[in-house]
Amino acid sequence: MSELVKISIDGQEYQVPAGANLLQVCLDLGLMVPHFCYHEALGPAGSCRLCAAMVAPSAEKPAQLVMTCMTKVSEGMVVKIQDPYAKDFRRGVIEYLMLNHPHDCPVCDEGGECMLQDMTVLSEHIHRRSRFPKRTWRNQYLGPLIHHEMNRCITCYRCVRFYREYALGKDLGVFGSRDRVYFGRVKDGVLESEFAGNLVDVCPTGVFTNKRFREVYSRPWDLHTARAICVHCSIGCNLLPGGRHRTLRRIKPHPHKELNRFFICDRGRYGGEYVNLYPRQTRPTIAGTEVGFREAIHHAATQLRGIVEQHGTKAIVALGSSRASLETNAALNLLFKALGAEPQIVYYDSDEEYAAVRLAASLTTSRAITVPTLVEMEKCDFVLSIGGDLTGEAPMFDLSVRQAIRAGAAFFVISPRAGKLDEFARSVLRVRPDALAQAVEKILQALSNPAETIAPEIADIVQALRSAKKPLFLCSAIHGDVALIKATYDLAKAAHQENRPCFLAYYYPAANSVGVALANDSLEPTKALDLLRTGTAKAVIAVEHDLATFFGNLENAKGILEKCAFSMIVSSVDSIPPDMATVWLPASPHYLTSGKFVNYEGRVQHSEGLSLATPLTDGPADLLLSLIEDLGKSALLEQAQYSDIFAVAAEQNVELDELTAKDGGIFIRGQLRPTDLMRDSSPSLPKREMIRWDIIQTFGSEELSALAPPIAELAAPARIEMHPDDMAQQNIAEGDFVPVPDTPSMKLKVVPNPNLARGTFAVPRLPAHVASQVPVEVQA
Amino acid sequence: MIPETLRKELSDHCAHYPSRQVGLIYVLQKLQEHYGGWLPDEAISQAAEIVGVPEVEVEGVATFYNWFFREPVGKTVIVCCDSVSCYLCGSEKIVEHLENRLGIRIGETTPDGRFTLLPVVCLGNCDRAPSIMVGDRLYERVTPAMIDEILANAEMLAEGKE
Ligand code: SF4
Ligand code: SF4
Ligand code: FES
Ligand code: FES
Repeated sequence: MSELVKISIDGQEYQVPAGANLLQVCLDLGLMVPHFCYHEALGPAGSCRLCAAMVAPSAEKPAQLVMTCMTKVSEGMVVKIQDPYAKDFRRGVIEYLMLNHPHDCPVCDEGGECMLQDMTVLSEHIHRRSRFPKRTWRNQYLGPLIHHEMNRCITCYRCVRFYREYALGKDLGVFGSRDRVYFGRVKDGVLESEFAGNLVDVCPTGVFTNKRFREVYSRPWDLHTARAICVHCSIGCNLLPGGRHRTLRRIKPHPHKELNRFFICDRGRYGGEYVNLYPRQTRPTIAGTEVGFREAIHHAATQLRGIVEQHGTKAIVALGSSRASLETNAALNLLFKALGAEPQIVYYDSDEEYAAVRLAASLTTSRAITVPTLVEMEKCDFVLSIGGDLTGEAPMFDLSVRQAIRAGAAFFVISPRAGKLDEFARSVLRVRPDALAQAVEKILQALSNPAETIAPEIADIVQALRSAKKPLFLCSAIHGDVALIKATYDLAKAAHQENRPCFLAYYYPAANSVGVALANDSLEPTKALDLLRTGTAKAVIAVEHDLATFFGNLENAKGILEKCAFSMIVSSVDSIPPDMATVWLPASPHYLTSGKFVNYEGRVQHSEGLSLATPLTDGPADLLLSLIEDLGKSALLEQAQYSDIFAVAAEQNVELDELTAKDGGIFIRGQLRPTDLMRDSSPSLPKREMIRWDIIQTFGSEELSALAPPIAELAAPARIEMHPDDMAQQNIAEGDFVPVPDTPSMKLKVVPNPNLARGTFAVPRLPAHVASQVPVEVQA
Repeated sequence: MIPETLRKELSDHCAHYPSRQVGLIYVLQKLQEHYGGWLPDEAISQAAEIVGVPEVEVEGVATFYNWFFREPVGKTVIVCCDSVSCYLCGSEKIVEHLENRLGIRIGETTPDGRFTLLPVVCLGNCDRAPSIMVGDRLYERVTPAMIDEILANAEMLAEGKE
């Protein structure tokens, strides 16, 4: 706690932290001082001149008109916000700021949450005196996410300060001077930053508004809101979705002081729109024929019971979901119990993912490593990004790293393919996907043997790491590289010193990857596949898990499902035809249902569901619970208190040996022992000449958001990237079609990428439903 | 397109400074000269590339200063101060007179391409208001009567340059 000082504001005494920003102090005390350019995350600029108050250093000294946002509090300070001179000054400032404003509030999309309206009223500017013509602007096309309406600008500079200074974006600027200052791009075009959507919140007027929200008229006060958790990556940003009638209208960040603070990425802001479109088949079906919910559930219960009776307790395999809540997965586990069957649940799409995610999650939840919050990342002075592209794989990590870079952190990258952050790196190690772990081990060796001479390509990293006060390692657990997870852990452990703690954060494929990693009912994907292929398992249940992705493609999925005596899909996205399964149960999607998710830190967060008019169906957990009821096992439900994290964990068979409450969430500790997982970590793969690398795109690679129209519009085209030297060597020309490694049925156009490691094919990861729509090859 | 020699000269110039972007104004001045008195779009991208800053930065500078032009201008540019002191001392009359003499409105260029008439913020010459600039010459305490002489002078100067 910092030292307190005594100050007086409008005759009242207050104790406030010494040196704090006077404007923030007033706002925190609930004393509204009109302001525009000051923003808690962006800091003061002193440019709008609206936050003026009379301030004297002490009662004896004369007071002066100052900008409160540019003033630090000090002992004995006397502040007069309501001083007539200051009030008059503020009234004058806002009158100027409003000179050219179009007064188009009735049709403005900011209406109802407009800071300009609030500040104008607060500053008591109620009568317009100016008779001069207003200057007007031409607006720009800024892409599918943001609408531009320059006439409303009051030149507070918040937008460029966020976009250029905070997010380090390059394509939004300020042009002109005097009363013709313009905020926009050099030319019309899609804003490049993945964080551009924050302009909507940062701009205090209606210049930058949410293009999707304004599509269907609604005032913000008419929205139902809920406090939700983002489902599109493993960070778990806090969100405030707003819905009306039957649809989700928009998503805003919900401030969280350790995680996303005021901002979110555009995948989170615009990705939720898929819930308005899915599931498309909203009635349950039995073998493709529409039936009522009760009938479908009863049919499923009878069939499943029959299968267990006939074929034994190991006859059912289920796909759980790392993007569904703990409750949904726990309900699936409970269903096995109700059936008297052995839970055989698989959460992952490959054995590599299974091994890597579980090891990373166990290191996280067993506290073998110190995992930073997003805000802690911003304060690190050394950042090493390993084995992934932060912008695509953990977008808000990218924004936090940008803050560290702004503060002077030494930033390094080890990855097979260039990402957007590379330009800020002191050095980049471009290595093949199968050589990532080795590269990290090399650094570890150099670090632990100071006597040896260091290989030149890692010298910078080792040196910076040695002198760093707060080192941070960020490592991807998305590409299924268990050796890399271990190597990074070893490095972080070696770098960890008594007086210099080291941070390490892994990031994962899905919003609840860490949550499901803790379940010990988890089956390895190949084992599950074997059970199904050999016919040992007679039934398959998929809950919020895309079957085409799991089985590689739609044909494989169809083949397996046909072989099974019974199959059931419980899903909020019918990305595969519902009639492929015996029973299809449409579930209501995320944002409309509630549940808990465990983020990359092991923080358990509850996501509330929006209650919109007449929901068409229940959430997946509730549907599964209805099935359990139909089986006559309601008693089981009573044991399970699904609002209680302890009960959920117990159902998941996670023995929690410790739970700690920390600001804004509960942290989970799993019983998964990292040492056990390290022992059986898979042997290294045989060396191949060319190896595949999945490009995880901010837009288009994540399963759910890829279904949202604005995100789909921004997705880069499917392609196969190769290093130009490899292309020359293999006689491949730009534009040739080449089979995708590991998916030879698919051929994609080759695009040269000099910023790709040699020996690598880079292919965007596409959800199965998107991949199936990619034109495979143009026939000559 | 700009000649390679010019590109090199400008790039070398930027290298003199601890931070290359210090050279931006100089680069824009030279490019404006090269393009005959204004900065077309391609000059903006060229400057960005030479100096090594994003285009928005260059456009910001090019539109901020009064003597960079993003549209073609006449041979002689006349700027009239419209800030407070000059306004109080009758700048409106001066503008009106210039408009009548040149047959254009403020912000326009004469059809023969000789003159462009623009408003400008305070020229820092308030004690001798109203002030205008014709090309790089400053005129003070301007009266409508002075305008004709000033214009004749300017035409002479412009022709002399040719
Ligand atoms: S566009 Fe908005 S944020 Fe930017 S200067 Fe204008 S009012 Fe401020
Ligand atoms: S960073 Fe991840 S959790 Fe945060 S808003 Fe973006 S997709 Fe959602
Ligand atoms: S908020 Fe203080 S000057 Fe704008
Ligand atoms: S007001 Fe015209 S020169 Fe200053």
